[in-house]
Amino acid sequence: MQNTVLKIDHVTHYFGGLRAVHDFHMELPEGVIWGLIGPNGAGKTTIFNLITGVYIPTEGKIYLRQKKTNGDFYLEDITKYKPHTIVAKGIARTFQNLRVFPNLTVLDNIRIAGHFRVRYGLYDSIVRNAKFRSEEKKIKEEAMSLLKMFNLHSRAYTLAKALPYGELRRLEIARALATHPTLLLLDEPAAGMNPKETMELLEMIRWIKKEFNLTIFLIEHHMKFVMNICERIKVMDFGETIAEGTPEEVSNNPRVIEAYLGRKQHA
Amino acid sequence: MSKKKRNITQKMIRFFKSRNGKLITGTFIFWLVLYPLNKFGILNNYWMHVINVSLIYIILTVSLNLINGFTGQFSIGHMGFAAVGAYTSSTITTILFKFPSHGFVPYLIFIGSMILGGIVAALVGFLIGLPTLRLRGDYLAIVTLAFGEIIRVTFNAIKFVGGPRGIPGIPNFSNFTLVTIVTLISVIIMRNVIYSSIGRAFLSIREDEVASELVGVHTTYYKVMGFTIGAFFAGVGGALLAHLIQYINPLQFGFMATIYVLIMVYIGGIGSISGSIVAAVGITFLSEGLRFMLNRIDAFTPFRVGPEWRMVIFSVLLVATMLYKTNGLMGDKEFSVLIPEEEDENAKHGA
Repeated sequence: MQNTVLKIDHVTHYFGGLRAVHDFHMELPEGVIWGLIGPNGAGKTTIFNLITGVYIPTEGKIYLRQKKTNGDFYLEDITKYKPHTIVAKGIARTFQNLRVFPNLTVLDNIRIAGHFRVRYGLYDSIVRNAKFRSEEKKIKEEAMSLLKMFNLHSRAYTLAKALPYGELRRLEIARALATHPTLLLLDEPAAGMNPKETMELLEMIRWIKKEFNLTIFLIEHHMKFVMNICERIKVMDFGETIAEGTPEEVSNNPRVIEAYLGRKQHA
Repeated sequence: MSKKKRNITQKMIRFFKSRNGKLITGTFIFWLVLYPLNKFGILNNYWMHVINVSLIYIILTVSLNLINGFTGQFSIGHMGFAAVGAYTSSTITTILFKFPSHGFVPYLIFIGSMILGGIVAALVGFLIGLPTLRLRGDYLAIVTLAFGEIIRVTFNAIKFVGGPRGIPGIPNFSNFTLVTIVTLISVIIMRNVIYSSIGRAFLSIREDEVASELVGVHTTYYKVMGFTIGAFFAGVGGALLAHLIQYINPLQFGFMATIYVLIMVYIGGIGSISGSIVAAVGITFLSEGLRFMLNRIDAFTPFRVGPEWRMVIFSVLLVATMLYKTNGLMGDKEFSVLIPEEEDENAKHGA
C-alpha cells in the first residue's frame, strides 16, 4: 500500500511467560486519526512501547514509511531500532503519565526535543563560533514559535514543574511536535481532564493534525472522546484484538461491550 | 586610521562589558592582587599553596558536577581519573626534567604532558563509561567505585611508577599564574559545553532518561560523552595537583579523596558551576583552617582532637546540607558572569 505510514505486521510480545500482545496487525494510512481502546491491562501501552522501540517484539515486524531521495516512499523495518533513532525517523509520542523534564524551563523542554537535528558538535559549542550561534538562534526561534502556537510562550522561562496540569499536557504535545514527526502517538491525552478541557483537547488534536500534516494514533479510555475524534478504532483485551471498525461498529460490537461491561450472568 | 582605531576601542569596550570579558577581567584582577602580595611576602607560600589547591579543586569539582550533577550519573571513582592524569604527566616530566628547570620550553612541555594526562584519563573514562553507563543509580556508583579502586591498585602494582612509594621529586610547574589560567579555561570550556544542545541533552538525561530517549536524545552516547569530558578535566586537575605537591602516591587518589570532591559537589549544589566553585574554595580553606582550630581545641579537651577530626566535621556539614539546604548552597542557580548572555532569561527561570 502506497499510503501506509505505519505497518505493524502480526506482532506478538511476551513479558517472560505473560503474553501481553498477541498477533497485533495494523496498517495505518496517511492522514488519519485512529484509536486504540481496551480495558486496563489490555496491552495498549505495550503496543506504543513496541512501536517506539522501548521493547523489541518477540515476534513480528514493524515498518515505517520513509521517503527516498527521489521522492518515492518505501517501508523501512524499524523493529530493532533504538527509541532515539525511531524518533528521528518520524514517530513522536506522549506519555500516559506526564513525562516532561520538571526542573528545566519550558523552552529547554522544547529545545531538547529538536536535539538530533542540531548541526554543530562539541568543538563548535566550546569555541562558540558563528555556526554555533546561528544554529542556537534557529533552535530558539523554532522553539519559541512552537510555544506561541500552543499559547505557552509567556511561560517559556518558567520551570516545567511550576505549570498547571493543562499546560503540562500542552507542553508534552508541543515537545513531541518539536521532533518534526510524521506520526504522532498520544497515550491517553484526555486523562485527568474535565469535560471542558477534553473538548478543547479534541479541537486541538484536530488542529495539530491539519497544521502539522500528521497521522495520529491514540490510546484513550474516555469513550466519548474516542467516538468523537477517531475514524477507526481497534479494541484490545488481554493482548488480543477483539474488534476493529468505525466508532459505530465498535460500540455495537457485543465482544466490546462484554470486555468493558462484563458478561451477563445467566443464573 | 582614526576610524579603525575607534573600531578597536569599541570592540574592547564591548569585550569588557560582555560576560566573558568580565569573567576574564575578574580573574585577572584576582591574580593581580594575590601575585604581588605573595611576591612581597605579605601572603606566605603556605597560603599561596592553599589557594592553588583550592583552584585545582575547582576543576575537579566542576568536572565531577558535570557527571553527577548535570548528567545525573552517580559516579564515585573520580579521583581514579585524576590519578591517571597525575601519573601520566608526572612520569613524562620526571623523566625529562631530572633537575629543577625553569624557562619557557619546559613549561610548554609540562602543559603538553598535562593535556596528554587529560586525554589518557578521558580514554580510560571512555572505556569504563561504555559498559558501565548502561547501569543506573546504585549499580553505577558501585562499579565506578570499583574502577576507581582498580586504577589506584594498578598504579600500586606498577614498579615503573614507583609502586606504593609513588613518584617523588616531581618538578614544580603548577605555579599560581598557570593554575589560575588553566582553571579559568577549564571552567569556561565546561560552562560552554553545559550551555549548548549537548548540555541540554545531559540535563534531559538527568531529568528523565526514558523521556529523553523518546524525544530523540541518544542517551548512551551523551552519558559516555559527559563521563569522558568529566574524566578529561579530572586528569588535567590531577596533573596540576601532582606538579604542585611534587609528590604523588596511589593512596592520595583513594576513595576518601573522591568523597572529598563529592562533598564539595553536593554542598555547592548539584547542577551549579558557581556552587562547585564556592564549595571547592570554601571547603579547601575550611579544611586548612580546621587544622589549626582542632589543634587549639585539643588543649582544652580530655581526649585527643587532631586534624583527622576534619572528616567528622565534613560529614556533619554534609548531613546538615542534605537536611536544611537539600539542593546545596547554590541550588541550581549560577552567578550571572557564568551564564552566557543569550541564555540569561532561561537560566534564571524568569525569576
